[in-house]
Amino acid sequence: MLNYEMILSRDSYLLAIELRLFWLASLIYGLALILYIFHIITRANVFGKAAATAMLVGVIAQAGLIVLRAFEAGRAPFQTLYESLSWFALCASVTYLYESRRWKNIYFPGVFVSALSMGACLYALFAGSPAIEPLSPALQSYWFEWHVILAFFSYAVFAVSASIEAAYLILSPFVKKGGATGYGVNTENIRDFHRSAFRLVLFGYPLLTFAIFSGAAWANNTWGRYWSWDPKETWSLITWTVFTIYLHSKTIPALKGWPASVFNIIGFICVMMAFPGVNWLASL
Amino acid sequence: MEYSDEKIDKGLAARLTDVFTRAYRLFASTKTSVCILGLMAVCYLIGTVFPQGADLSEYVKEGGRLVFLVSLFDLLDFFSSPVFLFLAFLLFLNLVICTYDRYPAIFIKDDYPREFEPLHSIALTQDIKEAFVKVREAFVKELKFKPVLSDSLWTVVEKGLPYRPLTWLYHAGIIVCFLGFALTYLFAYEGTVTLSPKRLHTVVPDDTGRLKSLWKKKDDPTDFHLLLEDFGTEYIQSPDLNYPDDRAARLAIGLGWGSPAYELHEDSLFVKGWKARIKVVKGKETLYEKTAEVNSPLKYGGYAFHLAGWEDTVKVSVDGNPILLEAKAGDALFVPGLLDPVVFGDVKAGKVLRLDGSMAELEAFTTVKRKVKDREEYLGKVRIGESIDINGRRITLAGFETGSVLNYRYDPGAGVLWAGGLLALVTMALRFYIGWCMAAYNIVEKDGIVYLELFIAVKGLGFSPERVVKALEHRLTKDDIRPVLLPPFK
Repeated sequence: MLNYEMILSRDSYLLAIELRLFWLASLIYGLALILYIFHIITRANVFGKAAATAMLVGVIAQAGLIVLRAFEAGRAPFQTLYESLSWFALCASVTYLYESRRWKNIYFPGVFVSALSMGACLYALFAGSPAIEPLSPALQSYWFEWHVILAFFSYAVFAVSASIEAAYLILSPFVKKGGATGYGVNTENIRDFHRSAFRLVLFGYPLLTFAIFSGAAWANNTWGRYWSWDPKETWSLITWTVFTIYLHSKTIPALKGWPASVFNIIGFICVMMAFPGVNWLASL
Repeated sequence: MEYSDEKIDKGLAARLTDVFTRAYRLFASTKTSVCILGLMAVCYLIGTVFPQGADLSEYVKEGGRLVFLVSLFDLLDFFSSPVFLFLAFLLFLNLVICTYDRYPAIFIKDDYPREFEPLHSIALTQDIKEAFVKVREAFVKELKFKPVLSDSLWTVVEKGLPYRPLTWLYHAGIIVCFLGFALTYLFAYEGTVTLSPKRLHTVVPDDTGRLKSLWKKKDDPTDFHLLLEDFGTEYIQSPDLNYPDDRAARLAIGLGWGSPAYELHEDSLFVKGWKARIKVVKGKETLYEKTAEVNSPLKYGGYAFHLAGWEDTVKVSVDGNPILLEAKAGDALFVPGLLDPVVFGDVKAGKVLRLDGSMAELEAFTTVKRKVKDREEYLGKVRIGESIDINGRRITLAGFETGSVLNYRYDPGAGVLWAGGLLALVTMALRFYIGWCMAAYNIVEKDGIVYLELFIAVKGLGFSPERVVKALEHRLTKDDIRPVLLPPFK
């Protein structure tokens, strides 16, 4: 049997490796961001391709560190601020790489996604504690585990959707005037951005619904109250409501164009408020 | 001009019918849903801006400036205010009317048009009759589409789950959720009860919800008693991490200059959980018993009893006096002969899971502090039977007793909410993730070449027109009716 000193030294060593891997992943996302910016400035596909490759390398590093963390903690590593932000960054990058696989020489939306992934990693590294500590009794629940996993997955999907939607809103006026050449977009495929954003919301919406439902089930099981109108809960409900408006607006001819795009972007702002925004407000 | 009563009645009835019809059409509209949802989102936002549950006096004291608006719209209890409830009712009404209005549509067989605008056109090599057979085979036998219309110029096939009933069902599920919310709002109540070991306790609610209070007295006790048979806490040895808060130092660790280090201290004990063996008793009969845990409440008689915490009572002897003094952990205990009161901490007792995986029994101990004015001065730690001298008085820890603090709640809406939520979730997942696909095709001959003209519509994420076209292309190429050399699909 290992003695205490050996256990402490092993755990400290593993944590040091994990932290270095995490910093590496955020630096790679940062590199991807710089390359995407170069692509936007120069319109050269080589920078776009390099940026997408960097994102892929970042994803591999991030997935590796999540596996390492699961091994260290002996549980699903999605339950603290530090862990959930890491999960968010991975989900956002994977979702973007998956969604962009069909596009040929289109890299524009990647600038937003790489910025978000890098931001989430840096926020986790600067503001979160990487300590692996036992969970308080209230958090020892499958409902809580699923709540966090799905909530952050849905937030990541919405973030990618908003990034694509933002690219659509920025590029479409130029495309209509015959500009935006070099970004791989034209009057035909620019509409695919709008459709992709919609499909991503369609994918994320049931996830967010289940996240809210599992959060309520967890609260009911632990404290006997499924809803208490605390700011976090309320912001997640605002997010859900805004995406409900978005989905309904897609069925109304007058709203299915740019107004729907605006609802999608507002939804993403609500996502930001539901997590870092609420924490930031609480710290004031 | 004179009007008869009958004419006036008819006119009034017509006007009322007209108003009703207009109101119905207004509330059955998706545009109305968007407007009401937008207003609800604004209301939720207001609820996050103003501190919910705070007193108006507190709000003023904290420098709140919008006193008039806060009082007028009840902004400190906004989610129970008339404005919010009215909007919630409008949303419910909109949801019910939309769901009712769309109900017949789920049974109506789709009336497909006789003509479609082809989205894809595929050149084939077979003669037109052969092509009909092969394309039908490809759709029905290989791609598992179901024919729904074949007696017109265009043949319509479909696959997947019918989206209209699923859409209708998840809206119906949300209506059931609303009913659950309403039941909770009207009937739910909660409170706290502390169980001392081996003593019977009756739950005497100090509230009975918003509606039940009309016919039930608030302080009517329950007809059963609770008995705490046993209580235990479990700890886990959890090392502390020596890790800097400073950003530059954290970056340095990330770059390899320095390492984080776990350290184990004597008091590195983390509460892993606590359990209470509770009996529900009526007279001499035990009706129910359970070992409740933090995430596993005791449920009985419509109540759910959740373990909220525990309360230690320490028993101390002063200078060996057999008459023991009792004090709750954290409360001030005035000891005769001592000027300042003594405060005992929580008693640490129970099992501990050590870092190496072994289990051990903790020897119960507590901390002793002296309260001097507003601050507490740490004096030391005592175990059972051990003493501590304070200004010449010998205080001995003779024993302790742990009571279980329970939050109880009566909520008839929760079950309804779960049923509605489950229905909404399952049907939403089926509708969004599996979806539905309809393909309409026609085979025509133009300038001696046979073409397959194709129109595809999808709902949900399970199907994409591109994938259907690819699968069809693969099938037709395999069957030799679309050789690879022919131009690609448009």
